[in-house]
Amino acid sequence: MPAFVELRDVRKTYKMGEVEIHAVAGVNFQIEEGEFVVIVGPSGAGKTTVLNILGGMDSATSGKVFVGGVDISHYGSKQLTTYRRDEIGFVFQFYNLVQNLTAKENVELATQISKHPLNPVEVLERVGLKERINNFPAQLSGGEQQRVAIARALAKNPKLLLCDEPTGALDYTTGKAILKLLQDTCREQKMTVIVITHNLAIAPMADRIIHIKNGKVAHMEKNSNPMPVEEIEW
Amino acid sequence: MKKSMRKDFFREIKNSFNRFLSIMLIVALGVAFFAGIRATSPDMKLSADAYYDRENMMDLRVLGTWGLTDEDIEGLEQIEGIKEIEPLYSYDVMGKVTSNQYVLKAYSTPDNINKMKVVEGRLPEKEGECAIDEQLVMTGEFQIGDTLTIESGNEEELSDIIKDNQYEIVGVVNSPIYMDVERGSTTIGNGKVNGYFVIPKEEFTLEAYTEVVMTVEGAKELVAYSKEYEECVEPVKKKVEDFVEQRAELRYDDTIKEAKEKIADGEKEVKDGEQELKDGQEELNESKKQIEDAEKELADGEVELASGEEEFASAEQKIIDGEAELAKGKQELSEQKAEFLAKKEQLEQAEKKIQDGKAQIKQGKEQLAKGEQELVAQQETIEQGKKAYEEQESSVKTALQEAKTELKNAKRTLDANKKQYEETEKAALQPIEEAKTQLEKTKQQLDQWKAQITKLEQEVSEDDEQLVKLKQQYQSGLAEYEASKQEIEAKESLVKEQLAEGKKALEEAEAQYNQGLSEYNQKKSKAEKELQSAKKQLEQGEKQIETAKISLASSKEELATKEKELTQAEKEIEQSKPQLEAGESALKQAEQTLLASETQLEEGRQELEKNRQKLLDARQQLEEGWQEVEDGKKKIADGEKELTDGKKELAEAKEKLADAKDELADLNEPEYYALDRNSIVSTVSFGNDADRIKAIGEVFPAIFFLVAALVSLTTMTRMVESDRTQIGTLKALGYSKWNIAMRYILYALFATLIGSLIGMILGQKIFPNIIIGAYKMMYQTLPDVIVPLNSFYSITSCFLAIATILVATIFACYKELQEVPAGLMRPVAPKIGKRVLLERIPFIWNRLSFISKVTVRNLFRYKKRFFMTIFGIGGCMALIIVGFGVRDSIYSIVDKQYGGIMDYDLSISIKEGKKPEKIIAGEDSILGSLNTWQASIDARTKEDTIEAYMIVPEEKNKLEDYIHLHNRRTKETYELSSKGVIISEKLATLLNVNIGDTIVIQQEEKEDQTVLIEGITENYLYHYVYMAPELYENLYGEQEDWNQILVKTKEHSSEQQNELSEQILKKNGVNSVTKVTESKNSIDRMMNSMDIVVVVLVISAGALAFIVLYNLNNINISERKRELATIKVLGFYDMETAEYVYRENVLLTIFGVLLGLGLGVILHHYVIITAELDMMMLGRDIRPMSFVYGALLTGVFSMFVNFVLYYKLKKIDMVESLKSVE
Repeated sequence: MPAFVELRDVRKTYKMGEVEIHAVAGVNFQIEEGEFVVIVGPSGAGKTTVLNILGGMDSATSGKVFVGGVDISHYGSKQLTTYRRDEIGFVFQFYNLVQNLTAKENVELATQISKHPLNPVEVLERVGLKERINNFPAQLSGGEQQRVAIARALAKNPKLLLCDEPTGALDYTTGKAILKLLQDTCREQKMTVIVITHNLAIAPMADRIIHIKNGKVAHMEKNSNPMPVEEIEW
Repeated sequence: MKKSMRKDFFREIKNSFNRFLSIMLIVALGVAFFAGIRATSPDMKLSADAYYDRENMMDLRVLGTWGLTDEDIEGLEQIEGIKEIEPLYSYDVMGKVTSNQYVLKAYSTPDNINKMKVVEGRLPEKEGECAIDEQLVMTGEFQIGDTLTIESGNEEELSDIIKDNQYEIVGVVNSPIYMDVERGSTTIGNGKVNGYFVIPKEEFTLEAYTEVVMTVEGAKELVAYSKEYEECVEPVKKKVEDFVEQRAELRYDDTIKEAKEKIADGEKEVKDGEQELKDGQEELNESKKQIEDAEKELADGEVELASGEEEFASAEQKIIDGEAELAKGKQELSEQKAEFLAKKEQLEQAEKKIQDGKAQIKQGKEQLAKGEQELVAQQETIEQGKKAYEEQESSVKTALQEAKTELKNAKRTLDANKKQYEETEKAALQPIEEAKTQLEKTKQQLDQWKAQITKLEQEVSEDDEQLVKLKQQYQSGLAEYEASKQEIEAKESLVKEQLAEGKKALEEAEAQYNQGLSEYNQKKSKAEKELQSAKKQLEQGEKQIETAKISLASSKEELATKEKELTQAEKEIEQSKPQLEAGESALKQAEQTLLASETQLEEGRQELEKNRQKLLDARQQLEEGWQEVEDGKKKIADGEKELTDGKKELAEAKEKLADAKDELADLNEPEYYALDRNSIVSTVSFGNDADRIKAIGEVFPAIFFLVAALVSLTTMTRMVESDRTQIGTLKALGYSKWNIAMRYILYALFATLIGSLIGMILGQKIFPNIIIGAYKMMYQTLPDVIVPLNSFYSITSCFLAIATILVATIFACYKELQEVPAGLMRPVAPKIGKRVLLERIPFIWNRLSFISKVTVRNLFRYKKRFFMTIFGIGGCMALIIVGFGVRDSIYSIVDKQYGGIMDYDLSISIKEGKKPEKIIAGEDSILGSLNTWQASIDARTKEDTIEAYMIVPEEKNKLEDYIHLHNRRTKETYELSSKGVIISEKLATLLNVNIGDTIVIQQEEKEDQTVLIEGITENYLYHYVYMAPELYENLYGEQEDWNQILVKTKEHSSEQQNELSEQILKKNGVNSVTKVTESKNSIDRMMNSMDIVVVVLVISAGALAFIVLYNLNNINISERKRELATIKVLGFYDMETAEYVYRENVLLTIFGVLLGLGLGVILHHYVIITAELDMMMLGRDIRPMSFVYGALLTGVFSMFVNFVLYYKLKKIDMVESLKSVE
């Protein structure tokens, strides 16, 4: 089975005046479709940069990025936008909901531009927010807001769901619930989910764990027997 | 401030330079408007003051109903506070250059006060020169070099006012007392002065000065229109008033006394005159009788003379007949005489011819004999010549033969010599040649020897004997050889010398021979040639002799025939001679008879001459007698005329005396008027205009200031909010509130200070220049615009700007500074989303698209920004509308006044007493005409007096075809009635009267009349009072002569109007013709200045819109950076992201435009009301197109800002979405 996502010697270099900073210095990994992947590493290891490149928010300085067999590394800004629009769902650490829109409207903001959107209400129901559809973000708790954010990402019906520290701003229990939601989504809908975190404790629940250190993949392991979220503790 | 804080402060400015710049620019704009427009009014006054000072404009003047005398002036000079004083003359007259009559004010050239500026040419310097008002040049009829012809406009004789009636225009001038186009009113012509001209003082023949102008001590240094100026002039004016009042009394008394004396003198003179007349009458009667007697005597003499003349005439006839006969006889005689003389002459001529012929024949014979002799002699000569030739020929031939022989001999000798020489040469050279050969051999041997020696020398030593020997041998051999060689060479040279001599001799001989040969040849050819020519001569001589022989024979024959002819002629003459002698005696007899009759006639004539003289004398006597009688009669007639004239004069004198007595009884005290600059129309209206600009300055700058303050407030608020964490950190570090606030206060202060300085300077330099520049179109003589920095407005505007912005900044800081550090460190709770009012109306809300809903909600989320943007755009829109609206209002004067109200094409002003019918008679292009009487009057209420035109039509029903009278608001149309008048709208506004009120009409030399106002009619230019003819007759007792004809042409075309006006002007009794199209054009030109104001407003509006929109959007974007980044991550394209923001802007622009519409209409109304001049009313309406322009321009400005923002949006980094909330 060919890899669904593949990074081949991906590098990202920032020029800060005279100094060159290698945020990512040659990353290689492969991910198969429907996997729940956790990318872990300390702060500043280059996790987020990898996520940005994968999510089409940034492009690599060199190397190749294949998603679904298509090379996106040479995409221009417009192609990347289309790519984000149709292939990627993104969950932010701080939810990034539009404060002026209700939960449903926030989801609609995404669905109205995508090609094959899901019904916003159904998606919200699925993430367990049936009752809060017409509430504004300020009226929701952090966990609920993150659920809305996940619903917004899922409603686009993406190929790849990228989550940047989805539990970073949440308490333990809520964080667990969100992770469960993500894992369930992965299992039930065969969605490929990539979660970025510095929390190693989360790693056992993944099908594949990628350790990143100093802009490189330290090592990668395949977990043939992922643990359910409920059993994980940190 | 701490060092690190200071560093942070400057870095902040550098990093947020856009924000710094936007505060600076909005402040600059606000201050520029505030200071600039407010400074315009004082700048206008300053400019005028500089102009007045330059031309030394009067501060006070005195006018008098009786004029002013030298005593008046002397007295005025004494008044304390008067600096300079100058009397002058002025008088209104009619004048023209081409056909149009103009009402002109004649001025004497000013010396030092109210100086006139020469625009072109020069001031008049001598008699017969004048300089004219610049405004007259604009009529196109007055030019330098033209002759201005003037005439009196009233009953005064021109010679009692001005010496001449023709003046050459030598210059064009302008005067500070006529800054605008108004030239005042008058009692002559159509009541409106068209312009002035100046002539030297000496040209005036008026008895007294008409005006005295004065300047006041210390007033020049003060600014015109200022309170200080008024206070300086006022006390002096009071003194002058007191003085002239006293003078009035004095002059009145003097005049009365003088007049009474004069009347007494006059009465006495009248009495004397009456006596004189009586005496004259008696004398006249006597001389009449004498004349009658003389006439009778003369008639008798005449009869006698007639009979004498008849007798004389018959005698004269007889003599004339005799004379004719005598003349005839004489003629005949002279003819016969001539015939006789001709015959005689013929005879004499024939005789002479015969004589000549004889002499000729004799001569011919002699010549013939001589010719024969010569011929013989010639033949002999030739014979001799032939002989000589033959002899010569033979001798020459012999000589030549001899020479030839000689030459042959010489040749033979030469050849022998040559041969001999050659042999000798050969013999002499042979032995030498042989010796040479021998020598050569010796030489060879010697060389052999030498070679041997050399060889030996190499082989053996030098001392070898053999070698020595050999050497010796060789040495001697060599010597020998040398000797013999020398010998041979000597011999050779000797032989050669000898040979050379021989050869030379031979060559000489040869040369001699050759010479001899050539000489011989020459001689031979010469001799042959000579012989040839001699032969030719001989042959010629023979030929000549032959021809001479032939000619001699023919001459002989001729002579013989001539001799025969002569003999025949002699015979004929002899026969005619006796006939001639008989004729001669007959002629002599006839001559004698004639002489006798001539003497007789001469005697008769002498007698006749004597009689004629007698007759002539008699005639002359008679004529003289008649002449005397005639003279006598004339004298009597003259006497009679004198007598009647005397009687008339006497009667007139009596009447005058009576008049004088009456006048004296009626005589009022003279009135003097002491006036200041407020009596000069243009000075006052300029001051009013300056005050109006001040009024505009109160409103406009306020809008800019308000916007500037609001923009700065939002900008600073945003700055403080974005620094929230930093403020918290600083606070946590222990910085005081004040320290932290300083950073923002200084930031704002810095920007405001720079901005306000820039705005203050640019504003005060640019705006007054543009606005005063526009006003200069009306006040054309104003030379320079002075725009100093006005310290008051500079300081107040800067202070206001700084204070406003600082308050705004402190207000922005205040909230944040109150919070505790911990609270500041936490991210600010995002603004809670709210449902807007619109959502409660599902009918609308549900129909909106999702994006529209988002937009609507966003709009109301940021209320501050919402109102600020609307206000900014609204201000922009309002400014543009005001700009275009003011222009519309002014153009409506032209469009409405000459389009909808004044509906005639020409207005003809005619002279007093002329019949209008005569003037327009026979003009085919006239569609219709209306006679009117128009005059300048004063309309008065208790409070105000306004100058206006009164128009009285001949037929009140016809007026509506020429001038439409209707109310602007109610659209009600009016008709004149005999109950009251209709007045123009602005007049009603200025007098504050309404329909149903009354006004007083004040006409010169007429009693004031109070009339009822029946209607207020739409009118934009000047003031009018329309009155029905019936009412006028009721009020004033009689109708005036029609003085203006309103004319409508058939085609309305300007060509036809021009043609017609030309035709009419040619007619007698026309003062001027005014074409409506021309008036329209002249106003059009004036209105061009308004376009500048429009441009200024539109540009300012654009600047305002740009700064406000840009600034607010900038804030908007930075506030919503996170949201926009998230949207981008969700996959919105750049354009979609931009539209997300633009949609809000478009809506805000629409709201702003709507607000600006209302605001603009209100502002426009205010501006129009304040900017209006008294003599005109500006249109109150704005054209719909102006609203469209305003909306479009605002839209364009707004779009431009959106366009600039697009790049800013594009630059937003998606990574922003990953960052934590600040």
